[in-house]
Order: sequence, then structure tokens, then C-alpha cells
Amino acid sequence: MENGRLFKDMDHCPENNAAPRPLKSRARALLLSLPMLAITASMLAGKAAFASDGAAAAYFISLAFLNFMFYKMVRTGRTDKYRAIVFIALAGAAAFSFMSFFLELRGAFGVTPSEIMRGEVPACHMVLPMLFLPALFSKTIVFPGLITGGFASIAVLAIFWVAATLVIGKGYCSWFCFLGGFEDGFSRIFKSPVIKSLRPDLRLLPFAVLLTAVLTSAYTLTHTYCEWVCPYKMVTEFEQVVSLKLLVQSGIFIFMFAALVVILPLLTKVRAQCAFFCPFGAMQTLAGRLAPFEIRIDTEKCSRCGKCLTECPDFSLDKEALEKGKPHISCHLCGKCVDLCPDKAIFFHVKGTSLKTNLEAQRILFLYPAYTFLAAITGMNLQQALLRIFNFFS
Amino acid sequence: MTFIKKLKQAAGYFWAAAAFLAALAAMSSHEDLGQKIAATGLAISPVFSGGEIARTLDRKGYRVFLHRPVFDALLREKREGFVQIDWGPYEALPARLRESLDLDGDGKEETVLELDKAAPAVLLRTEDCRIGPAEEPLVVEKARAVRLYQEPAPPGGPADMKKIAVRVALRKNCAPANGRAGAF
Repeated sequence: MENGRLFKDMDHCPENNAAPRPLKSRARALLLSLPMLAITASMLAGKAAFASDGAAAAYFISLAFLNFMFYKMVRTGRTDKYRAIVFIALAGAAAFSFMSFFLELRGAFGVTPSEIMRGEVPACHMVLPMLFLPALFSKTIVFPGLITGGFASIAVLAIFWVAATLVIGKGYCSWFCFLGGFEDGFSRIFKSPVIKSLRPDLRLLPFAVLLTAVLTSAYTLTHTYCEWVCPYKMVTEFEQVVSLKLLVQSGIFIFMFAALVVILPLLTKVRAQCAFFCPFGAMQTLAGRLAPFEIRIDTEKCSRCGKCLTECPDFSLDKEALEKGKPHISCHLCGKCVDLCPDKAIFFHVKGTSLKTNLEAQRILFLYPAYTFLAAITGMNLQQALLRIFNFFS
Repeated sequence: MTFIKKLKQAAGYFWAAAAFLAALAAMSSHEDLGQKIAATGLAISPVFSGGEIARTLDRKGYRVFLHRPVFDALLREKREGFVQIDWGPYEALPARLRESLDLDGDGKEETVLELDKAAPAVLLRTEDCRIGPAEEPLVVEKARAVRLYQEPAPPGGPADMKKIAVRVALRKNCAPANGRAGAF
């Protein structure tokens, strides 16, 4: 039994009382999963959730999938294993529902010049860092989207961002971003990395990208990162190629997606776009300091086996971090190191609380808000994707 | 455990719980909060929207909407910008449009724009070295003439219409050879 094995793993821990304690029974796991069932059931039950048989089926399948994953997370004590399944499903469902929606609406993936002039381009959180300076100085939004209403408006995006940042901070990148699942998936394909050593100063690269994006956007009053280099244009939308400039931009998008989202994650087991090139992630690293949760390392328990160093997808762990007892600030709180650590020396932690309190309780405390965000965005996209599939076959 | 440690612990748990509840509240009332954000006066940048309509010209059965010249930059103004001109409603437009326009608002029509409704391609004629060239005209489906104000549509501007839009490049200053120059 998985629980038994986990208990055995913990037997050698000198401070068993302080180590994470997996839940002893299915009943206890079920009980802890009930609040999540209530939250997700109400979140997914939108106006159109029961509008047709297909919609109802999509609702119940999404609800069952999300709650089964949460139950497994609680019961087995493993966070990242089940988070990754949902996170990858989110990326696939988001890309599928988004692209199929716009294919149906306009007959093409590409945004038309007319839509840009109408200001009906759906917003994405990647654009947020580029909006603040112009909004502050000129009270304008440098994105051709809707401030309210329509599909993915800027105001709703900003509200969700503030809410998620206050609660899970940098965890946004592993629990709420609907794009990161692609890299997460590709980074898990090979068992060990082909490229084993990466320069530590690469951790500063996202801040350089953030600074460049913010300054160039403020200067040009356009969203430069999204217009020129965002790899995820490949799985969301890009402007229809009607000029040489747009042809060059599309070539860059394809190259960036192939390099940062597929090839580098495959070779390094690091989410390369997130770790090295995401301006939103860099902003989140700074803004996320407000959040109450973090990952900590018990330096006394840690046997320095180095397993977490090679497996960290965020490039946030090295010997220095192990000595300090906490990962670098780029940590996404994905929980992979927590799952993998054979010494149970890495754990979720509520800031300000003792490092020796019940760590499993702290993990559960983190899981409720983090999984609520993950379930909210996954459920919404999964429902839409399933409904489109059902409608296609019926 | 010292009092300070207990206090920090209590604050940690309180912050974790309060932030989660605040997030749930924000997510469940995102539509109302979104309206409040829109009410702050934030608007889509004129670089995308074309800017406010400065003048409306009535023609036979249709209207010409002259937007304000857009030189917007973060703090000051750019040297180069554009002005957007819309013709609508599309259905009422004649097969060929020929428009004499006063783009700099000095009372003299210094620019002539000609375009076909069916296959829009614009011809711009002017002696003012600050004006031109013109971008390819665009047929905009169901556009609001002014996006800067969400609802209601401003007086004189159509709420929702199909239109032809043209953007003409502008320069703040230039050295006129034979042409004339005023001030934008």
C-alpha cells in the first residue's frame, strides 16, 4: 500500500513528529477532499453547465477528474505527481478550446487586423507586466483587448492575477498558468537530462527580459514581448500574416516555441521558457513575495543526495539553496522536490510558522488555495474542450 | 515558544486563511470588480483604438469620422504618429470615395483621399510634407467608432457599424520643399 510505503520511508526520520504525515485512511482523505468538491462543484456550475446533455457530461467529467486528482494528492502525500497531470491537461485543454473557438468564430487561427482595430483580442497574463507603466502614466492599456466583457477581458485577468498572487505568489506559474503545462510535459519525457549543467546566472535572464519588455513597451506603447517573441503565440493566436513584418514575427514565434517549449525542456528537464525567458514569471517572482506559502528545506535532515537538484524544473535548487534551507526565489512551488526527497527534508511551509510544526497540515493548507486556482482554470477549459469534442461527434 | 514566535505563527496562519478567502471573494465577484476597474477611466491605447473622434462630417447617407491625431507616448509626444479616418456605415458608402479633408484642423482642406469600396486601396494626395503615406484601408466589421468609452457610445458616433478605416501617417514637423506646413 502506498500509505504504508510512505510511513516506512519516514521511519528513519529522527524527528518523526515534525515530518509530513500522510493521511491514514481513505475516509480521512475523502473528508479532506469534500471542501474541494464543494468549491469545484459550485465554480464549474456556470450558467451554461447544464444547457445540454453534452454540457452536463462535460461538467461531471471535469468535476470527477479534478476531484479524483485532489483526493489522490491528499491521500498519497504526493503533490507534483497529480498536479502535473492536471497542469498538462490544462495546457492541452486551453489550447484546444481557445483555438477551436476562434477557428469557429473567424474561420482562422490568426487575429485579423480588423479585430485588432476593434479591440477584441483576448488578453493573456503574459501581457500584464507591459501594461502597468502606460496605465500609470497615460491611463491607457497598451493591448487591443476589451477592458471588460467579451472573451478574456483585461480587468478579469488582472483581478485573477491579484487574487492568485496574494495567495500562492510565484506558485501561479505551476498552479494557474494555462501555458506552462506544455513545458512541464516535455520536461518529463526523458528520465535524465541530456544537458546536465546550466550556468547559474541564467536565473537572472527573466529579469532582463522583464526589464526590456517593460521599457520597450512603455517607449512604443505596444506590448513588445507579445508582438515579437512570445513562444506561446503558437498555441493561442497570432496575427494573420499580411506583411513581411508579420511573416518575420511568425517565424520568430515558431522558433521560440520549438526552442524554449519543446527542445530545451526535453534536453534539460527544466521549464526553459519559464526559467529563462518569461517576463511574467520574473514579475511574479517579485510580486509573489507577498504570498504566505513557501518551500523550505530542513538542512539537518537533508542527506545531500542531490536528487532534487537534477529534477527541479524551475532551476531553483542548487547546493547554495540546500545550505540556505530554501530554494531560490524563482521556485514555482510545484512540489516536485517535496515528492522526490527521500529524506522528507523538503516541505511546504506557511511563512512565520515554526519549521517543526505538522508539515502535512501545512501542505494541505497550501493545497486548498493552490488547487482551487488550478481547478478553476482547468475546469473552465476542460469543460469547453470536452463540449467541443462532444458537439463535433454528435 | 516565545510570544513573538507565537505572534508570527498566528499572523502566518491568519494571512494564509485571509488571502484564500479574499481570493475566493475576488474570483466570485470578478464581474463587479471589472466594472469598477473600467470606471477608473482606463482606456485602450489610441495606438490601437485610433483615438477619440475629433470631427464628424455628414455626407449623403454616410458619415466620415476624423479621429484626433495620435502622437501619444508615455510622457511627452512622439515626432511621428497617425490619424485615423473612418467611413461608415459600410452598406451606405458609394462605390468610390473621394474625400477632401482638413487633417490638421486649420480650416483648409490639405489632403485628398480616394478609395474604392469593393477593393479598398487608398490614394493619398497632399502638398503637406507632414502627411502620409496612408496604410492599407481596412474593412472593420461591427466596430465602434470610439472604443475609448465602452458604453454608451458618444453622441454623434455610431454605436456599432461596419466601416472602412484608413490610417494616415503624420509627422510633427518637417522641412517643406514646395509644400506647406502647419502645426499638429
